[in-house]
Amino acid sequence: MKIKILSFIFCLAALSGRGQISLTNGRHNLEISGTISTFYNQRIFTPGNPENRINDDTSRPFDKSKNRFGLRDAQLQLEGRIGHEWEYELQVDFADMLNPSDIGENPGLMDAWVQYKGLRFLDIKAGYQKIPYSRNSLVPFIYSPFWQRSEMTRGEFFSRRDIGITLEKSLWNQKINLYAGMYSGMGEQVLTQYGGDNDPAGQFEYVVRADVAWPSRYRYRDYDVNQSPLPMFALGIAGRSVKRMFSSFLPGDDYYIRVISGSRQMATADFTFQYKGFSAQAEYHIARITPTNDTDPDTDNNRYRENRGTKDYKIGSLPTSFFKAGGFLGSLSYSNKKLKSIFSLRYDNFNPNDLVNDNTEETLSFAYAYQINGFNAMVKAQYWYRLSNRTNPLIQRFDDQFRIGIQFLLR
Amino acid sequence: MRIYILFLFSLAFLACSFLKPEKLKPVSKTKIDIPEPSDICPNADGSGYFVVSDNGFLAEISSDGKMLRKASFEGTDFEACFLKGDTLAVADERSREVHFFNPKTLERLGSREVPYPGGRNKGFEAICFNNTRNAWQLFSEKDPIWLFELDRNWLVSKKDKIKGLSDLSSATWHEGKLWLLSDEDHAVFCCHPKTLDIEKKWSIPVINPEGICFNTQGELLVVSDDMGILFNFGKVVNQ
Repeated sequence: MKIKILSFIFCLAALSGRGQISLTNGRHNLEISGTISTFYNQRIFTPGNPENRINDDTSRPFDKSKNRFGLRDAQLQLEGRIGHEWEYELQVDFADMLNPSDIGENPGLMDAWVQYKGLRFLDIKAGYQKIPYSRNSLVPFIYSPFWQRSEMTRGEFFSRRDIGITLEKSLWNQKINLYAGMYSGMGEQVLTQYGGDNDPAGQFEYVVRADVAWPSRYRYRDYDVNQSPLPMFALGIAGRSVKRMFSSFLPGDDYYIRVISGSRQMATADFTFQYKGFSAQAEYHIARITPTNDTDPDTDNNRYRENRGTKDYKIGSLPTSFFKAGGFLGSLSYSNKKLKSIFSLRYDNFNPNDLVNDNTEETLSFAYAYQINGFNAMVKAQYWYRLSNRTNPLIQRFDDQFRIGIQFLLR
Repeated sequence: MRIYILFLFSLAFLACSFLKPEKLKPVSKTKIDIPEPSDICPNADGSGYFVVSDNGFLAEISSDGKMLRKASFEGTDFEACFLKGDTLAVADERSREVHFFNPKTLERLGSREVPYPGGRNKGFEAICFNNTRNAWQLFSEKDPIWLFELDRNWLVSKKDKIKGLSDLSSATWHEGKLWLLSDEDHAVFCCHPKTLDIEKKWSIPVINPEGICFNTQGELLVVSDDMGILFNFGKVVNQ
């Protein structure tokens, strides 16, 4: 039934002849658009690591189940505006909705919010929305040559979306943007069959963000496809805080720190630059987590990284009641209109627990996109080169990987 | 292996060398009082300018950028304006409407709907009166860039596809030529009024250029939406 509905909606969109449908009665404007992206993925297997074998048995062949075709996006988006007062967005990804294996990170619903702009001095957004925390997370993924965000910002470390309220204020011709919001603290899990309610503690997550740009406003975009004639900069800082009674994990979790019992304070700083097709980004994250449980429920997994120091249970040599997690990502890119190409090089590292030695993951990623019709039709390729010690059992990602495919926007 | 891949990427980064169009340098810059200005045209006596905003309003500013007055009628997303005699025409991109104002009072005289099925922010970006063809013309932004010529009843009587620009953000008429502005190309184009062939292109150091016009001295003016600045490039010669 879901497939039939999906087919009908995409056929409807295609009938416009332009993909994108815009309806208006003069006051109410509604735009219907969508995204389809699909890829082929190839793993380059690291020999000697038992996790690469079927049933983790070194006597058995490589488990090649990750050499596959995949459907990353099958999105439908409704964006609307009523007069000057109201804006809304409803966005669904059917590919995620039909695939529960990664439901904690991508539950399927991407946006369901309304924004009131009638106050003029302050905009209020309510509903399920992106959390204004990480700049990298705020950049729409359709404007990227990559197939995956960095390990730190893809939704494994912190929740990228939640239900709540965001207050927004822009100053100085939108060169300064200020955000403050309160959310359930459950992240994407608030939508799932495992969630729905808040944590028993009944606390909310609080988020603030500020960014400033020069010499003009700087949209949340990473690639200088329009070859900016002047150097442009933006600097941002953000923080978030939540206190919970219970941990909450879902299939697809890799680090078990996204929704964790205890308190968590996070901070980030980001910088972006672009000029004449060249662009660069840097983003740093740090989290201070004071857990109330010393291990996560997945004790059979026996990963050392999932032991956590608490007030009563110390691990490692640091007698603390908390641990820290975080990392850095940096990227350098070049976009050329005449070549219709974007080249990008990204370095990212991520440490999920500073009490554990030698568990920082490092990856160098190369991406290339050939823009057949701008971002609307684009062939994308990404290669992940793992810099971490591939025999270290604490490392989650140790295989290199190559992915190539096409992104098509119905707009 | 790592060094080899890095070398290939570095080579690709530096592999481009192309002929560049002539560059224009601004002779003056004026900060203007209007948020998100999206187009500009001179007022009747040349003492100031009419400016429209993405926020859906029309205003008149002085030559030093100060707001003098504002129209009481507000639309949705004004993207283009052009003054022809006693008619000040303003295009609303999202609602696909053209509103007509009295330039003396800024009172709205009427509106016409011109249907166009593209995306809501890919509607009409420019409007001008073509003296050679004695007709109003509307332009879409991109994918593709259309020129719609309108008859006396504001029905589309002719349409042509404009090529050679990544997008179009504004258009004006000056000394028998059609002048186009492109936001994504950061460039000004001078075109033949009938064939629409591009005769000359200039690049401009302006982020998000959204409006173009010539003042009474014949100087080229470009307004930047994101920067909120009016750039004066002086007299430009099409040779």
